[in-house]
Order: sequence, then C-alpha cells, then structure tokens
Amino acid sequence: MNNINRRRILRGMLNGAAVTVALPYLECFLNSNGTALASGAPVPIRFGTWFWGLGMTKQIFTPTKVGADYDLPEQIASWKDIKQHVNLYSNMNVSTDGRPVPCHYTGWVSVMTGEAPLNGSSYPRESIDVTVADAIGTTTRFRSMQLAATANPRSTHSFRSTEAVNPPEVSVSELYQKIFGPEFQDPNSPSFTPDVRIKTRKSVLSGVMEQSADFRRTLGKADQARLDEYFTATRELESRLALQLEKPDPAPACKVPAAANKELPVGIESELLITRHNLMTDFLVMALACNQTRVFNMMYSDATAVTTRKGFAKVHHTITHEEPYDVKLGYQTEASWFVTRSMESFAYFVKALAKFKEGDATLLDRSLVFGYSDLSLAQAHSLVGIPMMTAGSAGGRLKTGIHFDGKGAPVTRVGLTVQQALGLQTAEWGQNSMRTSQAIGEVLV
Amino acid sequence: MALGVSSFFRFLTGLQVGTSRVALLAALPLALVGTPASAETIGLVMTSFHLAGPFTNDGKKECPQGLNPDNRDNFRAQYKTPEEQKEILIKYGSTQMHYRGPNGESDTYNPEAVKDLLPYYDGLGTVSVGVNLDSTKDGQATDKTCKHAKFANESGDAVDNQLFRVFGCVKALRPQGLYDSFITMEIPQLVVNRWLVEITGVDDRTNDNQVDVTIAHGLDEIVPDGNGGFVAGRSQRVDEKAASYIQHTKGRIVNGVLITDPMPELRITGSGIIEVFERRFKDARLQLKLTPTGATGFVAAYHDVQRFYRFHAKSLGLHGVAANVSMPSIYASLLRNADGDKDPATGQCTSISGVYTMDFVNANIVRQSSKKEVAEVISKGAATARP
Amino acid sequence: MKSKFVWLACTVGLVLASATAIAQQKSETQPAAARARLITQPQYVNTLRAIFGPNVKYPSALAPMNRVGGLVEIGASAAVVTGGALDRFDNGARSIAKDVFDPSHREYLMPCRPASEMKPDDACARKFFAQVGRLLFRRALTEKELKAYTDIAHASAVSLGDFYSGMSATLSGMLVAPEFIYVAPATEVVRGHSQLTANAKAVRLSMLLWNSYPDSELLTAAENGSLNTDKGLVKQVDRLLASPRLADGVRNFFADMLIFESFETLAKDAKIYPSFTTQVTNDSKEQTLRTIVSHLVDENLDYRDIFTTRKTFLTNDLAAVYGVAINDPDRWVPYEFPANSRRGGLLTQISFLALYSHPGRSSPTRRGRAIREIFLCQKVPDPPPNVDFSAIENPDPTIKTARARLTAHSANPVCAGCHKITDPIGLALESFDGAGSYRADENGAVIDTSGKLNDASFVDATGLEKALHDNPSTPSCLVQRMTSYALGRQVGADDASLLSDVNSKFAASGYRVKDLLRVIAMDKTFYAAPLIDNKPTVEKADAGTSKVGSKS
Repeated sequence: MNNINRRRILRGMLNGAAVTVALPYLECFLNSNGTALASGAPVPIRFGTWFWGLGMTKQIFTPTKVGADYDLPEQIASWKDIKQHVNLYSNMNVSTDGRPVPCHYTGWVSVMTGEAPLNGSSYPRESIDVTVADAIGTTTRFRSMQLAATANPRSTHSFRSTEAVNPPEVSVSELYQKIFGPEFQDPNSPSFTPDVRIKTRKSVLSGVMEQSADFRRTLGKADQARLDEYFTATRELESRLALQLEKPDPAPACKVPAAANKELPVGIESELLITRHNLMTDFLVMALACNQTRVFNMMYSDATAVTTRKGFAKVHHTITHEEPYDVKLGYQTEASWFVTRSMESFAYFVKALAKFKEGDATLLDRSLVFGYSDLSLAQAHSLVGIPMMTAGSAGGRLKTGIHFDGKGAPVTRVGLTVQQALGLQTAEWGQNSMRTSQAIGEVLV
Repeated sequence: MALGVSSFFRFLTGLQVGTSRVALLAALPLALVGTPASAETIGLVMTSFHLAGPFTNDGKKECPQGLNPDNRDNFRAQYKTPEEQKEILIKYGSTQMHYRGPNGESDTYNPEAVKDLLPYYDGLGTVSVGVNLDSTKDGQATDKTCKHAKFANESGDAVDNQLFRVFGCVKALRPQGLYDSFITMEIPQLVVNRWLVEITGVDDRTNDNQVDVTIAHGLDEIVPDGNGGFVAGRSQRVDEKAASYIQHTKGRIVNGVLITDPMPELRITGSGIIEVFERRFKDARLQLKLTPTGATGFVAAYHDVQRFYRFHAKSLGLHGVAANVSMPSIYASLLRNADGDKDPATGQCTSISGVYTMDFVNANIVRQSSKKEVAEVISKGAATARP
Repeated sequence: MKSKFVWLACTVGLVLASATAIAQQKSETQPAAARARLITQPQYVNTLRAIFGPNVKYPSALAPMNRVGGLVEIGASAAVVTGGALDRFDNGARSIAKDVFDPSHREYLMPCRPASEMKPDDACARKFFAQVGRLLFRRALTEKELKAYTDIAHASAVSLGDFYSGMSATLSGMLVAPEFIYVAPATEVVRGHSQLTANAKAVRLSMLLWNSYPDSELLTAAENGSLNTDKGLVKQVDRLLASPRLADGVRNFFADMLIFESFETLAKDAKIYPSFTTQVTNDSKEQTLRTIVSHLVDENLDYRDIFTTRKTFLTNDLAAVYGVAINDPDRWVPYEFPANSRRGGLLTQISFLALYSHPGRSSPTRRGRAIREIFLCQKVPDPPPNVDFSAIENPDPTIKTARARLTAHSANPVCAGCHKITDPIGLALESFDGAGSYRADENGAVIDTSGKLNDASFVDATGLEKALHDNPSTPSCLVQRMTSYALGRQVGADDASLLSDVNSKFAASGYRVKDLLRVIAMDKTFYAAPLIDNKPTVEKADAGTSKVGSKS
C-alpha cells in the first residue's frame, strides 16, 4: 500500500511553514489511487547541497569548453567518471548592493538565500534547502539531514533564520545511530506492527503540548514568535512519530549498512576529513535509499577552511592568503592542493549516488545535488565567478553534463533553476540586484 | 633531557620560608646527590623492544630455505596417517598437538623428550648491532665460551647475537610476527613493561667520559602521541617498592651515544603474550643514541638458556599453532647456538648472547612522595618535535 | 584613500570601545529587554543533576547557540528550537527519563511505590509530578497541570502495561516542554511598580550563582514571600554563595567568557605537535577552569591575580607539554610554577596559547585579538575584504620569526591599523609555540617578546600579564560581562549607573568575584522587570502571595 495519499500531502502542507508544494506530489495528489509508486510513476526526488570553502583557481578549474562534453582542467580532473552527471556554472557573481562584505560569509549566504547578508552574524532569510525541505521533506522521518565532515558542531548552512539554525551531525557513529539506531523501521520488513512505545510517545507529546499553550500566552510578542518555531518543530516530531506508526513504503534498494565500528578523532587534517566525509556519504546514501530523508546538506569544509595537511604548519585558509604565486605556473600550488582534494571528494559524493541502483535508475538520477563555494579566488576574497555545480537530473528535469558560462549573471539564477527543477513553483528568486526570474533554460528540460 | 639541576636549586631558594624541603627532595632525580651542580639529567622510558638481527622483509636472504615448521607440521611428520593422528589426540585428551613424547610428554615442557623430525634452520647473516661480548674476533671457543659465528656491526667490529641464529627464521619472533607484535602491543598496555633509564651527571650530551646510569621499574603509563610515537616529557614514578630493580652503573657518552659499563646482571620485568616474567641480562651493556625527544639503541647481553627457554615456553609454546613454533626445535637450537658460560664438565655452553633493539622517549623521572609538592624542571620543548 | 579610511576605522573603533564601551554598544542592535532564555547545555545538566542525582546519566549534546556580545548566555535569549535542536532535547529527555525510572534509581528517586508495577497508580504519579514538576518548571504546578500529567502517565501506563514506563514516558515529555526548556522572566506589578515575580527572582539568582534552576529551598523562599524581603534575600544569597554549587556557576561563566566551546573543535597537527593529544585538549581546558575556581571561589582572591598567579593544577599529560615533572602522575595535582618561571597566569596556560593559535603554528594576531576582546571587552574589527595580499606577500626565506612576518604585513596601511592593536601584545607570547610549549628560538632566530599594552611596556609574557593585571579595563570588563551574563542581555547606556556602582563596589572589595556576585545579586536592578514588548503582567496587591499566571 502506498502511503503517498491526500492525507499525507495535506498534512505535509499544513506542517510546513511554506506554502510551496512540490510538483511531483501534486501529480501524485491528482492521481491518488495508491499505486503511483508501485507503478514506477513519480518517484521521490532528493535534494541536497554540498559545500566546500575557499573556492578554486580559475586557470586550472574552469573548463575552456562551454556546453556539453566540457574539458576537465587539473583541479576537476577527478570528475572523469562523473562529468556526464555534473553541470558546472562558471562566471556567476554575487552583488551586495553596497552592503558590507564580511569575508568568507557574504558569498555563501548569498548563494544559499539569494540575498547578501546585512552583517557577518545574521542571515537575511531562510536557506534554500529549508525552502525545498518544506516542500518535499515533510513525509520522511527526517525533514532534512545536516552533515558536517568538519566535525564542527557549528558547521551548517541550513537555517530558517539567524536564530533558527539546523545543527549538523558531526560524528559518524552518532549519524549511524540517528538513522539506523533502534528507532529505524526497515521498510522491507515483511511484517509491520505499530510500536506501542512510539504511539505512547506521540500521545504524551500531544498531551504536553496542550498544556504548553497556556505558557505561550504569558510571553511577549517576540518570544511568542520564537515559541512558534518550537511548536512547529514539535508538530514535525509528532508527524514523524505518526509516520512511524504506519507501514513504511517499501524501498527495495534499502539495506541497513553495518554500523560504524569506531569513532574518528576530532580534527580536520585532510586525510581524516576525507575519511569522515566518505563514511558520512555512505550512510547518507543508504538513508536516502531507505526513505529516511529527502533533503540533506553536506559541509565538506567551512568557509574559512582550516583544513590541515600532515606536517604543514599552515592551514588551507592561511595558505590562500600567504602563499606566493608559483612563478612559472602563475598560481598558488599549495592552496590548489586543497581545492583538488575537495573536488575529489565531490566526485566521491556524486559517484556514491551514481553507483547506487534504485530499480531501473540510480539514486543520482532521482537527485539534485547543488555544490557551491563561498568565493572564487580565496586570496582576494573574490565574489566574482563563485563556482557552483549541480549533479543529477532530478528525475529527468535537468540536463546534465553541461558547462554553463553565466557571463556575469547573478548566482541566484542557479538557485532559481534548482527550485524549478525540483518542481517548486518559484517564479522569481533573490533580492535586490540579484533578484531574477530567469532560470537557466540551457539546462532545464 | 630533563631536570636542570641548577634551575632546581633556583627553585628551592625561591621558595618561601617554611616550605617543606624534605618533601621536595623526595622528588629529586634518583642519583642526584653528589652530582655537580651544572650537570644535566636525562630521563628515558622504554617504548619498543625487538630482537635485533639482519631481518629482511621477505626473509629470503636470512632464511633461504624458508621459515621453520611449527608443531603441527612436526606432529604430522611424526604421525603420518589421519588415523594415527586421531589416536594420539584422543589418547591424550587434547586437540592440541603438544603431546608428542614417547609417553605423551609435552613438547613444550619436555622438549628433550620430543625429537622434531623436520629440519630446523638457523638465521643466516653477517651484520647485526651489538657488542663483542666474548672479546674474540672470530668466535673461537675459549675457556668460558663456545665456538660461534660472529656478526659485524656497521663499523665492522665483531659482535655477538646468537639469539638471531635461533629465532631468525621463526615467524613469531620476526618483525611483526605474533610474539613480536604482542610485545609491541603490551609495552604501552602493561605497566610491567615500564623500563626507566636515568642518566645523571651529564656535562655534555655529545661527549662525556663519565655519567651515572640508573635503571628502574616505572609505575606510569606511556601514552601514544598523534604521530605514531609516544608522548615525550611525561612524569614517570620509580617503583620504589621494587628496590631490587633499581640498578646502577657507570657509562660514557661518545658522539651522542650512551655506552654503559657492563652490568653483571640487569633485571627487568616484561611480558610476552600476556605472560609476565623477569628478563635477566648477564654481562649487559646498553648503547643508546640520544635524540632531542628520547633515545634509540640496544641492550646486548647473555641469557641463561634454561631460564630463557622456560619463560618462552610458557608464553610462546602454549600458543604453538598460532605462534608457528615448535618448541623442541627451538630448545635444540638454543643449546646448539649457546655461546657463553661454558660448563667445564660437559663443555656445553649454558647461556646465549642476544641483542634487543629499543626505543625510549624522554620522561621526567620522579620518586613517589608527598602528594602535594612537585619538582620543577626546565625541559626545552621536549613535548614538541621540531623539524 | 580607501586604505587610510580602514586604518582610521579600526583605530577609532577600538578607542571608542575601550574608552566608552557602553556608548558604543548602544548603537548595536540589541533589544534593551531581556527575553525568554533557552536553557543551555550546562544549565540543563546542572539542573537535572540537582534533581535526580549524580548516578543518572545526562547525555550532553544540545544544539549549539550563537554567541552574542561575547556570551552564549546572551545568545540564549534569542535562540530558537528548530527540528534538529528539538531532536537533541527529545533524545536527551528520553534517555534521562529512562534512567530515572531504571530499577537501580527509582528506588530512591520515587517518593512512593505503586500499588502494582503493572498498572497505573494515580496517587503515586501525582506525588512525583508535584515534587519534580515544581523543580523543572520553577513553580508549583497548577491543579490543572497536575491532573493532566497524572492522566498522561495513567494512559501511558495502560498502553505500555507498566507503571514506571508510563512515568518515564511522561517525564520525557515534561523535559521537552517549553515550560522547562524556556525561562521567561515573569513580572508582576506591586504598588504600581513592575518587578519580577518572586519565583522569577529565585530563577535569576540561582542561574547567576549556580547556573541552574532553583532548588526547593530557594523556591520555598519565593513562595512564602521571604525572598521579597531584604533579610530573606540576604539569607538566600549567602546560602547560595556558600554552597559548593557556586563553583558550577563561576565555572560556567568563565567557560562562556573564555569561549571554551572552541575546545570542541580544537585539534593540532600531529606531525608538528605530536604530544598535543586529545587528553591534552581536555585537560588544558579543565586546568584553566580549576585554576579559576580555586583562585576565585575556594581562595576568594583578587580577580586580577588570575593573570599573574603561578598556582595551578596539572595532569601528567599537561606536565609533558609544560615540560615539568609532577610526582603523582595518576591524578590532578596542585602545582606552583617557580618564581623565575616563564609561566604564571591565564595567558601562559596551554588553554589560551593553544586555542588562539593555528593548528601548526602560533598566532600573535589571534592571541592579541583574544586578549583585547575577551579580557578588555574591546572589539577588534574583522579583516577588510578584498585585501591585495600579493602586495604584502613576502616569500623571503630569511624571515624567520612571526614578528618579522607581521612587520611585513604592517607595511600595508590597510592591515596596519588593526595589527598594531593586536600584534604587539600577541608577540609577547611568542616564546610559546602553537601547542603552548616553551621554545627558546624560532627557526634558529632569537624571539623578541617585548611590547606595550597601552602605556605599559614589558619585555616578555610575564610583563604582559602584569600589564593586563594592572589595566583598569581588566576588572571593568569583567563587571560588564558579568552584569550582561546576570541579566541575560547586553548591558547598554541605560545601565551606566548600575555599572559604575558595581565597578566601585568591586574595586572596594579588592576585586573579589564572590563579592561582585553578591553586589549584583543584591542590586534592585537585577530584579527589575525587563522592558518587554507587549508583556502581559499580573496585577496584585502584595508581594509574594499570588502565583497566578507567573512563569519564571
């Protein structure tokens, strides 16, 4: 029995703060006869972001060829096996309309929200993954999943507001427990009995919240608004518990992986970082396949990436500012080393989705991964030509394998394109001079 | 490097009246009394211990005929058919293949009662670290020693290391073999392996014609650092209850290498595959190259064959199959290669020369005493490696 | 032109901050009124441990909060519970509630035994919720609430077929209830004046002194009205100050002020600093907090002396990095660096030296900035964007020391303004590498550690610590931070008279932090009703009799 039915969609709409509704569900809604998934018609699409800090080196990053079958310069040579799935967006800019430009901040905040921040400690509006999760993330156990390969509990680009930030998972073993721990329900289990403990939790939660309504009335307006966020979170938790009381949709590709057997140490020495990223990626892939979430954010490194390289005294960020240019090559070779590692990791991430079969397609075919950095040339904190990628076709809505030259267009065109590819009815996105209604027609199907 | 004595006295004089000097003195280095005020003390704690010898990675050079067979191989050579094998195993009520003597004697505890049928190969080679223990150039027999083949160290001097002959082709005792790996693992895990060396009266770390060396058992853990080694500069208490393990000798430093005078019998506790025992090094000499964060070198000495066999039989022999050893062959090889303490009556040597390499890291060696007072030491960045 | 402007901005900004910190903060966008505070991780643990005892496990992974005005405690007044943050609360609540009703703990944590363990027992449940609910919500539960929780426990016990499981499920619900996790300062109008309710006063007091919700005795003092009398207030303040739990409060304040959450992500390059293990990271944080608690709470000494005291506590792992011997390597030992030591005071402890360094090398700029911002309450601006670093880049291999590198940096006027403020004091600590170990030289070159803090010259770290000790901004910065911490908001121009009063009393006490806490705790302003937007208040005739609608 398929659970994507009217009841659930309405619940999703009511629970989410946003009114945007994902098209795949709308279609499903119209056809609701309980067989949509079984017949292989609209299958859930996943969306996620993948961030790395400190940009790239244009000379050895940006392909010379625009359009399909682009060339792979040194820093993205690792995309050899995935470039048919990856669109690269070059030459797209952030403009701040005269607002102050806190370094290593304005770039990614603009990409994620469509608006330049007012200062270095606030967000102008919600991040794009939250918008998407409100539309497509309400029917899974987790609305979205934040992963920080940095192991830094503050590494996250996912937020509804400055104060309402989604904290990341920083530990590989805790991530495993969160997804596949005792509360995990195997969607392929032949039998299903609603868990009376979950049922009890749900009714306890409802009972407690009923009492709390009085508390809200004692607060001032600003605190009431804060508390409303809390109630939204509570309702989300309630509907997640309700979901667990229903037999989950079958997910034939779902297979519970072996637990992480040991905890990685804290730290972001490059090899350690890559190990953590890869382990987290593998668990994420299975979480997607098992319908535990449809939206994710991966922080490969922070904007001021303090990634270290064994035996080198300086961190990536310091190197970008202090390393002299190689006289012959004309760029910073040590800084470039870190960018190349970052792009290898992006390739690992995309490959992990691409090699995972889900019925007649791969997980990547039914996903859209949005990769971005915070600036282009880190040494100068340059907001011109911020590199961005998409990987996957979002279920056939996006052409792939294309290098798009933005010719100085605002970065928001990519954000808008992403939303439209995911079926959100967003016609315009971005603020001030970055406001755009022009999705990138070259890549949209 | 460790306790700077002069700075220590500065500390004492800087104290306010009334502070207990007695308590403070208790935290002085072991052999401080009587050393000149300008001398330096170097404290060390052992972090690795391996049999020395010309080991190569694949063993082809030192063991051209392959590694030695174990007791399972010898059992099968002795009892050829499955029926015979089954009968013996049932008869002695064991799945182990140890009971191979004519009356079911254990091959481990009665090695003389069992004759291994398969051949046993001694380790070949001509180069080893070590010391010339018998003072001969060619290993000819003397009144006290037996004939054996010498090795040459890297300076070309003749040195003795007959234990390599015995174990050079035994998988378990070769680098990363089972026994060797267990020791590596147990050194940090079991405090019985805590071996402290303190060098006092060091006027010059490169060349000093006389220093005092104290060896003792320590009480504290050694901690792995982030770089595959061990943290240097931690404090190590001397096990003062184990007074017999506090041993003194003199030595000298030549080109940055500590060379001790011979010690008639150096006794150190240790472990191997969880069995705890006491190592006794006869006519022992330490040679340790001092580094900024520790030392690396070896101990060369004779080992009493019977005693050496007994503690190895317990830890090694009982893990015969896993350790890939056959104890009767090892026993025979020990006797065959024994080169010291010749029994005048039989002409059989009763001890065997051997060299073990060791690594140490710096430690601040302290005596246990008052819980409250502690010594101050100037240790110039001991904890920080500088490339 | 542009670069000149930046230089001025930095210098002027700093002068303003140091001279009239209050005036400058007025211009920031902080609301004047305190708002509901979200419980922080340490408050959560301190509170529950006081209720359920030390044997219950308290998992510690609440979502991090933003730091505002130098303190997470102020960020708590703006923090919002997102889905992810609620998950952390929910996981913690279930784990704790399960442990509370574990057979090994419920024996002594329950005030009664159920008639049958398989069935609901309303009377027993009610007794538990009345007792625990009052401590969690900082007020007696209303009859309506008591009945509701008892009913929930009843229904849960029926569906789970077990009394204790039902209790556990209900308790975990209470532990995520907003009444527990949010602290809203309830007010009442007494004789025309708006003030905090007695229960809200009790909360404010125990949050300041114990970093925890009030205990039963303090709540009783609020409930019976004695907390609203001078005598009653003195009695409770004295009691809280004398309690061992004061250490929790002082510890938390300094961990917050010193930005110690940075330890969660502190890691050093293992090749360069092999001895800087995870244990060193943990111990170095603990060392500083132990030093502070011992100095300020146990010994009740002058706050300024934490920058010069040679007394501290060490473990064997720390001793290895400090290069000293301790003779009880199994545990924490008190230790006093000798009079001629290069160490002494907070700035030369590993926690400070390593936290404000890079993973593979020291950073005079970070250290200098941290001294200005943390201990002197000055704001050092972020580096400007789009600096052309190639202009100052100097690949000259003859440059060996940080001072030489930074001198090259200062050739650029854009950078010079701020670096002039941070570097001269940071360079005084250059005798200590990025892990906090002493070094005699840097790449073979002699390290010059001389410098100036304002008008005070010094030649080394000890001199810098003395200069910081003597700097008048040092104690006044603490007053500013402590007052903000107490009120849960940034203090501003409106608080000038309060601050001036507290400052002079702090000085008069010989800069004893216990006295500072007492001064704040006894000040009427501390209990004044915050200006809250559209805040409903409850009118009443007499203090200390009504609890209607008051949520503390």
